[in-house]
Amino acid sequence: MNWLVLAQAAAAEAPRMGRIVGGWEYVWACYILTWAGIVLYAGSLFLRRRKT
Amino acid sequence: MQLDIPLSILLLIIVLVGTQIFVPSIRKWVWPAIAVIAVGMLAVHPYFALVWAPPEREMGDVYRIIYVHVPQIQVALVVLAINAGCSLAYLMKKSWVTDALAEASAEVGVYMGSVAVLLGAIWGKPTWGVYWDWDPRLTTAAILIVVYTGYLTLRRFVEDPDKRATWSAVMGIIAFVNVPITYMSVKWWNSLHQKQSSPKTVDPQMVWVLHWSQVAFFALMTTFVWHRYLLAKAQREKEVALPEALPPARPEAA
Repeated sequence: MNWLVLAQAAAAEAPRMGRIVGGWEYVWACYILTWAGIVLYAGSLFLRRRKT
Repeated sequence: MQLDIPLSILLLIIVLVGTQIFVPSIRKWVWPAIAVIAVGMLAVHPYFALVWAPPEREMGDVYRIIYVHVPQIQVALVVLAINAGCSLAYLMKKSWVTDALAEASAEVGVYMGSVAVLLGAIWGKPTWGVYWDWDPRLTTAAILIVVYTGYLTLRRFVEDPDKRATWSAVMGIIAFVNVPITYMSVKWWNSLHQKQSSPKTVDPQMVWVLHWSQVAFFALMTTFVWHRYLLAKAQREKEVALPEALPPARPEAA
């Protein structure tokens, strides 16, 4: 029965079928774009208000 | 009914914005206060979204894009609804206040909507295998951005402030038709984009972080719209005052 226990443990540790592993580069890209957008838009509002 | 911290902050923002309409004397500290709330909430947002929230069962850590993608598209739809409301109000009673607010809300809507669509495309790559697919949600969202960019272009091209306000108000109402279509597209048609999730089926910790993100971007949107409104109003006052400021025409020049 030892082989069965080992097989069950291996199955539990293996990545699930269809589960995405990693992908942090996409997450970072989205957060950097969001923050860049906020800073650029706030900056454009500040500059336009100074002009007016 | 029990309110969590983000929803309590949202309630506070709504009360502050509502109160300053009836009590203008508090206006000078209400808008800086909302800006401080936005900055404070956004400062800790990356910790909650990238560290504190647990990974998702199937998408792992990639799902963390939800905390910047969903709030920005939701806020864009809200702010475009404000644009439609102001457009309708302008056609019913001509006012530079509603016209300036319509201009401000459209610009903030296009900015946040464009960022949200871009983030959605990035999220599509690890989950769908492609950056873009012409499915109903993505297509209607892209049309939304193009139409409201057209609205802003129209405002830039028409020089007469009165005509500009009337024409853009009509276009604002027509353009708004696509807002509920974009929201409902995942329910009406067979879409690759997932349907709206129910908080009942999601980990409470994830729901809390999503609420935090939604309120943070709502506070940011309010701040942006207010400052853009002041800018639009100042430009309108300048335009309307300009003919009176010109020196009278000399008889020999005529």
